[in-house]
Amino acid sequence: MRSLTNETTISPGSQSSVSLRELWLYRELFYFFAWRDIKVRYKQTVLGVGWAVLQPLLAAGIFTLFFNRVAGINSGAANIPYPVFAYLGLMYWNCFSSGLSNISNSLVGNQGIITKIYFPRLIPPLSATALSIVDFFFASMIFFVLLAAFTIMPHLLGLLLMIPSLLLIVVSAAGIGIFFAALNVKYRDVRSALPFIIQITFFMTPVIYPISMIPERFQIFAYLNPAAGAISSVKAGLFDQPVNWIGLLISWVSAAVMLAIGVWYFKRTEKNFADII
Amino acid sequence: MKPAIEVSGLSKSYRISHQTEMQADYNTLKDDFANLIKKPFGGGAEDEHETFWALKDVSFEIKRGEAFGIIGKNGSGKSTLLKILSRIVEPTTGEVRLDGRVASLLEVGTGFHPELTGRENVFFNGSMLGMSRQEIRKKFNEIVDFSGIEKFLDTPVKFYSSGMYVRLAFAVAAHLDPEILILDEVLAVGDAQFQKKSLDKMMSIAKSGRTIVFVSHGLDAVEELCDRAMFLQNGKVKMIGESGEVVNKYLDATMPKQPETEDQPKDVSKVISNKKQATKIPVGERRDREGSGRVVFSRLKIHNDIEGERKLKIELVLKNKTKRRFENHKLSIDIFDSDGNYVSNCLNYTTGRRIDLQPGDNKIIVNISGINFVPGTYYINCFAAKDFDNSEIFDWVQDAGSFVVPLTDYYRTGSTPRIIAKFVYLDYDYET
Repeated sequence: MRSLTNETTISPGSQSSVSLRELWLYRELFYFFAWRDIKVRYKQTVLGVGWAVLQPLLAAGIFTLFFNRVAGINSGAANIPYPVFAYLGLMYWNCFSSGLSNISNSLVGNQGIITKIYFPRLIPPLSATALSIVDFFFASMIFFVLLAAFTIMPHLLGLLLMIPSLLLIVVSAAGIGIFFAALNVKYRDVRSALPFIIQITFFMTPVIYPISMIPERFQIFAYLNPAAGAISSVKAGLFDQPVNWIGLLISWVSAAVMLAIGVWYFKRTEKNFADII
Repeated sequence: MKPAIEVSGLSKSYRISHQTEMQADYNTLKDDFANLIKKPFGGGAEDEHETFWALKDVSFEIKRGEAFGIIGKNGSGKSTLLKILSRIVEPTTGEVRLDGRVASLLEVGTGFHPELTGRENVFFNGSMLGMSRQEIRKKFNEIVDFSGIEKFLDTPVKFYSSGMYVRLAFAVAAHLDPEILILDEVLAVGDAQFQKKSLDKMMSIAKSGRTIVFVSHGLDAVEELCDRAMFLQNGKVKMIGESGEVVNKYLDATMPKQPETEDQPKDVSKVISNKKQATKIPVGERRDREGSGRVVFSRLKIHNDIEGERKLKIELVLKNKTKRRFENHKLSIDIFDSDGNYVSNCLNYTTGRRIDLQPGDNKIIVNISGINFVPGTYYINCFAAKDFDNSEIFDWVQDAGSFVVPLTDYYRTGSTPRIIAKFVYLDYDYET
C-alpha cells in the first residue's frame, strides 16, 4: 500500500503546499492515468494512432491550398517548401492545443474519481500531457518522411532544438491548462470559451506564417507567447536561419511564470474541488 | 497504545444559496460578475447564503483493530465524515489523526472505465485504491478467482452485466491490504450469494486485526460487523457505544409509532380539506411521511373503473434506494372513507402474495374487483415495512391518493338506488 508516512493529520489547510515527495509516491498513478487516456483514446477507432499523423497532415494540406496558393503566404524563405513548413508548425501547435484542452478538462472529466478517492489533484492534469506527447512523436516521424520527400537536409541545431521546444510547449500548455482546469471546476464557462481561445491564439502564433511577417518592433512581444518561441526557434534551427535566442529566453521565462501562476491558483483552490465539482 | 483514529472537534460547513430555486452545483462566471456588480465592495453575496453545518463538533476515537460503525439518517453527516477521513474534502475546523496506512472505499468500482477490459480495469482501479503495480500483479489471480469472471477478463467492461461489474470491482477492493479501511455501504452489492461472500470477506478482514470504519444503512450489517458504533443526527454525535445498543437507540429515535396509536384530529371538516390538499401532491414528493426511507413509494396511480366494471386498479412504484434485495416485505393499501372510517385494507400477507423488492424501482399493481362502496370519496394510505412485524417501517404515506365512487345504477334496475346505509351495497335477492 502506498502511504507517505504511517501517520496522517487532517486539518484545515493541511494540503495547501505542493509536495513533490507525495507526487513521487504517486508516480505509478500518474503512469496509470496516462496509460488509461492513451488506451481509451484509440479504442474503437479504425485508424487508431493514424489520427495523430493524419490531423496535422490534412491541416497542412488545407493551409497549403488556401494560405499559400490562394492568399500567397509563404514560408519566409525560398529554400523551405510551404507544406513542410506548415506541417512542422502544426505538429507543435497540435501538441500545444490538444494538451491545453485535455489538461483543462482533466479534473471535470475525472469528476467521479475526485469525489470518491484521495490522490494529489495535480496528477490528472499532469498526466493529461502524456497523450499529446505520444501523438507528437508519431507526427514527427511523418515530418522526417516529408523532409526526405522534399529532399531537405535538416540542420543539426534544429534537430537539437526539437526536444527542448517540445518541452517548452508542454510546460506552457501545462501552466495555462492547470490554471484552466482549476477554474473549470468552479466555472464551466471554461469549457465553452476554450476552443475559441485556442483558435484566436492559433492565428496569433507564427504556426502557418513566419514570425518575420510580424513587424520587427513587435516581434519581442510575440515571444511572450511560448508557443511562438518554441515553433520559431525550431523552424529557424532546422532550416538554417538565425535563431532569436533572446526571444526564446523570453518564451521560457513566460512559460515558467505561467506554470507558477497555474500551480499557485490550483493549490489555492484545490481543497474545494471535491465540494464544488 | 495510541488509537488508530483520533477525531477531535471536527466540523464542516457548506454555504447554501437562496438565490434561485434550482441552484446549480457550480457558479458560472456570469453569476459572479452579476454579484460583483450588485455589491461591488464585497460581502454582498453573503446575504443570500446560509451556512449549513454538515458536521458539528464531532469527536471520537477508534482503537487499533476495532471495527467501528457509523449510522444515521440521510443527511446526518455520515458521508461528509467519511470524505473527511478519506482526505477527499477538508474540514472547516478540527483535526483528524490517522495512525496507519489508509484505504478508503466510498464506492465500488471508482474509476472503472467502460472502454477498458476487465484486466485493464483491475490494474487501474487497484492503483487508484493505493496498490502498487507489483502488488496488483501478485494478487491478480486471487482477485480474478474471487470475482468469478475469468472468462470475460479481456472484454471491455461496458459489455458486462451490472452484476459482473460489481463482482470484479468488489474483488479488487477486497484485496487491499491497509491497516485502516474506510468503507461506505459497499457490502450491498450483487446477488444474495455474492453478498454473503462479500460479508464473509469483510468479517475476515475485520477479524484480522485491521481497523475498520464502516458506514451503512444496513443495521444488521453494522451489528454483525462492528464492535462499537456511533449514531449521527444532524451532524452531531447522538451516541457512541456498543453497536447493538447504538442500533437500538437509532431505531427508537427514527421509527414512527404504529398506525393504531395515532390520535385522531377533532375537526372533521378541516381534516377533509387537509386530506384533499394532501392527495393533490404526487406521492413521491410528499414530505409528511414516516419510515426509514430505505424504500419509498415514488409513484401512485389509480385507474378508476367503478362506474363500469366496479374495478379499481392501483399502480404503485416502490423505489428501493438500497443496493440489496428485500424479500417478502409487507405492503398494505389502507382505504378510509371521508369520515376517517377504516373501510378495508389490501395486505399482501393476507392473500399469501409474496413480494420481493429489487434495488431500484419496483412496479406493483393492486387490482381490486367487486367494489361495493356507497358513493363518496375514499382515501388511500400506503404502507410498506420490511416484514410482518414492522421491525422496520420503510415508508408510510397517509392520504397518498383518493378515488371517487360515483352514484351509479348499482342493482341494474334502470335507476340509481336510494342510499340509506352508510357503508356498502350488498348483493342480495328476495325470494318469495
